Amino acid sequence: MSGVYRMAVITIVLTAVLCIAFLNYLTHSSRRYYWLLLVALPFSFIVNHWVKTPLVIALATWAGIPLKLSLTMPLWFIAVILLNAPIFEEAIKLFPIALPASRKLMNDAPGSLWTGLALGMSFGLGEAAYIAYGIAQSPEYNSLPWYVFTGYAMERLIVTFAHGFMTAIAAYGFYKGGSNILIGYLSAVGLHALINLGPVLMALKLTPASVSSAGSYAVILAAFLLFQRHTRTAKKASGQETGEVIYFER
Amino acid sequence: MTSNFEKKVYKPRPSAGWAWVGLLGLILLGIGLSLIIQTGFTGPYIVAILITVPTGIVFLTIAVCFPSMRYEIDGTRLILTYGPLLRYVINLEQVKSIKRRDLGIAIVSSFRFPGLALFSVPYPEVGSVKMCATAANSGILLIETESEKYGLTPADEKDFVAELQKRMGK
Repeated sequence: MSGVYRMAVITIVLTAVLCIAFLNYLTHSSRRYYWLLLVALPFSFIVNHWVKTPLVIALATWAGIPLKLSLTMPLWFIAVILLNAPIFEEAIKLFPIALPASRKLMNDAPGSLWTGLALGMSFGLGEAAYIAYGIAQSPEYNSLPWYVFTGYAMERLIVTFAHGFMTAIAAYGFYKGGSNILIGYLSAVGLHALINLGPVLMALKLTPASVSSAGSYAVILAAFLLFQRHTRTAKKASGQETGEVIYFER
Repeated sequence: MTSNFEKKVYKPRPSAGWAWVGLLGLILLGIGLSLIIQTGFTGPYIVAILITVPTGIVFLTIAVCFPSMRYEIDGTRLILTYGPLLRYVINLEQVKSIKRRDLGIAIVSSFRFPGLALFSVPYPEVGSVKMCATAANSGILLIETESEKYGLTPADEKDFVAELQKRMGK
């Protein structure tokens, strides 16, 4: 068994436990959101195999551009590569919201956030498995022991939560309706694109790896803060705020 | 200060906080020991070993001490303890307010898990709180003094607060 698969199992189990704990805390132990953590598991495989990769290959073939990311590529094609994942991944993560079973969970503002969060984290867990599969295909990495993949583990843990925050922001927009649907979706796409900007600039040799990672994590932090702000607003709107009882004051 | 009040001990409300800390401790210790077995103490992972093994042991110690969490009212003092690891003493004459409320998440790192919060924990709404509680955010009893805020979660909250108020002469 390839080392990366062992680390993937550890990462996915640990991250899933943390996702459940986070959902448990936010929903005050309401277990009805747990099953959503299973729903989007195959979505990363689906969107990568049948949407993102074929689209980029088709466009590259049509335009006669080699697929290796470099500054010799036209700017529009670099933009396509940057936006490919955000546009399609944020869309597929929201797809289950259209299903009647999920819609029942979106009947109040906090519920929409928890639903989006669970679906996004589910996608992230599936993506961790998909990326491990991709790494294992490389003979360069396939023979390495499991414990050298700590970078993969940390990144996937953080990115899984980032997927949750972004989908929660988009789902909250869907709950509010009207133009908020587009605002929510585009906010998620924008945040996702900014997270991916660092790695793209690094591949273009425009920034070092440390700057690329720091930039991505700063955007993930911004996504968390926006999620937290929506959470406070949603709780206030639904009367779930603080529940303060004053026993004594002077 | 002398007092005629007898000492009363209150337990915190139950939670599975010990399991989270214990699990994390086991994972860290497991990773550290695996690295020792596979690379020894001279390999390139010595820094990782030096971080994971002691941290794992600390987390396991905290998990083991979980049943020792208690709130002791002795005269006009409230003493929050968590085994030998934590001891906060609150002079009841200096208490400004006692409230129960839910608290949000701050992004600053602190010792806060689902079902367990210890030591100083920053919260966005109320600032830094000295926690000795079996919850990190829900239903926290906040005791504010002139200089500090304390967070606790007594199992029998009403009786606990009534006893505090009796000792405070309110």
